[in-house]
Amino acid sequence: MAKKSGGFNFIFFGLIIILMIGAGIYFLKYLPKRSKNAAKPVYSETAPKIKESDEKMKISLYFSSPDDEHLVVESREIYRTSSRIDQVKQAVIALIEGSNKDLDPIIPEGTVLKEVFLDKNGTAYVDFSIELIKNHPGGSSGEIMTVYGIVNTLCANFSEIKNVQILVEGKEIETISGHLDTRYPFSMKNI
Amino acid sequence: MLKNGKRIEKLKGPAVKGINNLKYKVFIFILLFSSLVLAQENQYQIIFSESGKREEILSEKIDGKEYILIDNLQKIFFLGKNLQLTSKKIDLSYKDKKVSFFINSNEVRIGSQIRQLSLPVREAQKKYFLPLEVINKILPELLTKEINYKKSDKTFIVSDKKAGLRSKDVFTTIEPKTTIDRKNDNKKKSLVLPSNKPAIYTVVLDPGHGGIDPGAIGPTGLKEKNVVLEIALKAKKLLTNNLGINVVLTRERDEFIPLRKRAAIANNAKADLFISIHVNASRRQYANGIEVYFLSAAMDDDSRAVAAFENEVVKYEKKDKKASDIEFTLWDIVQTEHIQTSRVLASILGEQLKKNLSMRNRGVKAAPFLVLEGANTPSILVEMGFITNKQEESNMKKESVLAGYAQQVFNGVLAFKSKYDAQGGKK
Repeated sequence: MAKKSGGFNFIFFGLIIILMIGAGIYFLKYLPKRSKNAAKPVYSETAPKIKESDEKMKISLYFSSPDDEHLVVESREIYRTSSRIDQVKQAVIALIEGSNKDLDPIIPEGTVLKEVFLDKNGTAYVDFSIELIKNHPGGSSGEIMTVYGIVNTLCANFSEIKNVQILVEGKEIETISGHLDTRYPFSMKNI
Repeated sequence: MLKNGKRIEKLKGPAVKGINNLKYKVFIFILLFSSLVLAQENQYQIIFSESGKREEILSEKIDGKEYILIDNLQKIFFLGKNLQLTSKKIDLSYKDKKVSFFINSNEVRIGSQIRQLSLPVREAQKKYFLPLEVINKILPELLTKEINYKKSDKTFIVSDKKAGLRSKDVFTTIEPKTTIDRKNDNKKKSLVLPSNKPAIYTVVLDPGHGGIDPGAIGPTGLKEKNVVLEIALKAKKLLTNNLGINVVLTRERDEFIPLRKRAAIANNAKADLFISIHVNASRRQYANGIEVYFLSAAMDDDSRAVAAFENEVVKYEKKDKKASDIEFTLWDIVQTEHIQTSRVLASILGEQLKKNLSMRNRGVKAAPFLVLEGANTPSILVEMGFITNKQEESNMKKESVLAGYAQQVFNGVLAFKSKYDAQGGKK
C-alpha cells in the first residue's frame, strides 16, 4: 500500500504527526485544569476560544475600590466570539486577571474558572476552583466585593443573565468566607 | 407514612401480575426493613441554650421502651458515677449533689426525697440504662437547670433556672408579642401573657467564626475569632450587670458553630435582639472603619416574587405540623417581618459608633448574610474595624479598646430599648 502512492502517503503521515503534536499540546495545556471537573462537563466545549474572530467588544468589569467599599467599573475589550458562553468566560477570566488600573481584585489569587453555564431562567452558574474560598482574605466587605463583583459584571454585560449562582468545585456552597449566603443566586446590586 | 403506603401500593400492582413477582417482594421487603431500621435509630438532641452547645444522644429500646445508656448521660452532663452492685445502687453526682437509682426499681432518691419513675432502671450485659424521662424529670434537680423536652423535635433544651428575681424587673409591662405568635398559630397556648417580662429581655450575641474557622487574620497573626469572642463576653457582662438583660452567647468558647445553628440558637432562646459581632478584612492594608449590616435579599423583587409564592405554599403545608423552633426556617417567612426593625437597630448602633468612636464610619448597609436569615427577631451584624489594618489590629490587642467596642454594643442595645420602650413596647 505504501509503495503504490508514496506522495499521498507522505502527506497523510505528515498530517497525522501534526495532529498528534496538536493533541499533545492540547492535553498538556488544558487537561490538568479540567481533570478535577471531569465529573460534570455541563458545557461541552473546552477552554474559551479566545481568538475565533478579530472583532472585539467592550465590557465593564467590576473591581473593588481600594478600601473595599465600592465596586468600580473598568472597561475592557474581549473577543466577540460566536458562543455567548465564551464571552461570559472571557469576562470572568478578565476579572480573575485583575485590574489594569489600580483597582483591587475581587477574586482571590490562584482561583481558576472551571465552568460557566446558563439555565433557561437566566441564571448563570459560575464554577470556580477551591482557591475562591481558601485564599479569600475574609471579612464581610471583601466577600461582598467578591460576590457582587462577579454578579454585577455578568448581569451588566450579558442581558440574558438575570442572576448569578456561584459554585466551587462544581458544588453549591453555603458561603465563601462565612458571611454571605451563597446557596442561592444573586441579582445585580449597586455597591 | 402516607407516601410510603402509596408507593408500596403502586409497587404491589404490577408485582401481582408481573413475572418478576419475587423481585418486587424482595424490594418491598427491603423497603420495609430499611424503614424499620431507620425508625429504631432514635436520636435525641440536647441543646444547652446558654452556651449553644449541642449534643446528640441515642436511645435504646428495651422491651419497647426508650432507655439511655448511663455512660452517655455522664459524658454529656459531666456526671460522676458510683456503682454499688451489692445493693444494686447507682449514684450519679454533679458538683455537691447526688441522685441514687436502683437496678430494676422505679425508685429514685434525691437527697431525702423519693421519686418514682414510670419505668425501672435496667441492666443488660453489665451496662446500665435509665429511662429517657430521667433527662427532663430527674436531671433538672441534679444539675439545678431547667430542662424542657420537645417531643416533636426529639430535643431537650437545657437552660439556666430562672432566678426568682423576675418580679423585681424594672422594665415596663408589654402586650403579647403578636408578631411572633402569628407565625405559630398552633402554639396559642404559649402566648406570652401580659406580665412583667421586659420588652427587651433576651439578647443573643453572636461572636463570629470560632474553632477551626479563625475568621480573618491580621498582619501580626491576630485572629478574628478571639477578638470577637472577647468583645461579646465583655458586652454580655455590661448588659447583664447594668440592664439585667438575659444575654445568651452563641458560643462562649473557641468552638466552631455552623452559621445556621447560630440563628437557631437565637430563636431557641426567644431572643428579642440578635447581634452578630465580627471584625472586617481587606486585601489592602489601609482599608479601615466600622460598619453595621442588616439583611437584604440576594435576589431582586422579580426573582423573589417566585420564591415568596413558593414559600406561601410551604407555609400552608406546614400549618398542621408543629413548627420547630430549632429548625432553620426560610427567611422570607421569618426575618422579613423584622427587616424594618433590624434596619432601625442597625442605624441606632451605627449612630452610637459614629458618636463615640474616633474611627472611620463606613455606614449602615444591607446584604444577604447567612447568619441573619433564620433569626426570628431584629438582627444585625457589626464589623468592628479591620483586623487587616495595622493600626486597627494593634488596637484590637488592647483590653481597653475591646472594652470600648463592647460598650458600644451595650449603648446600641440601650438606645434601641429606650426607643422601643418610648413607643409603648412596639418594635
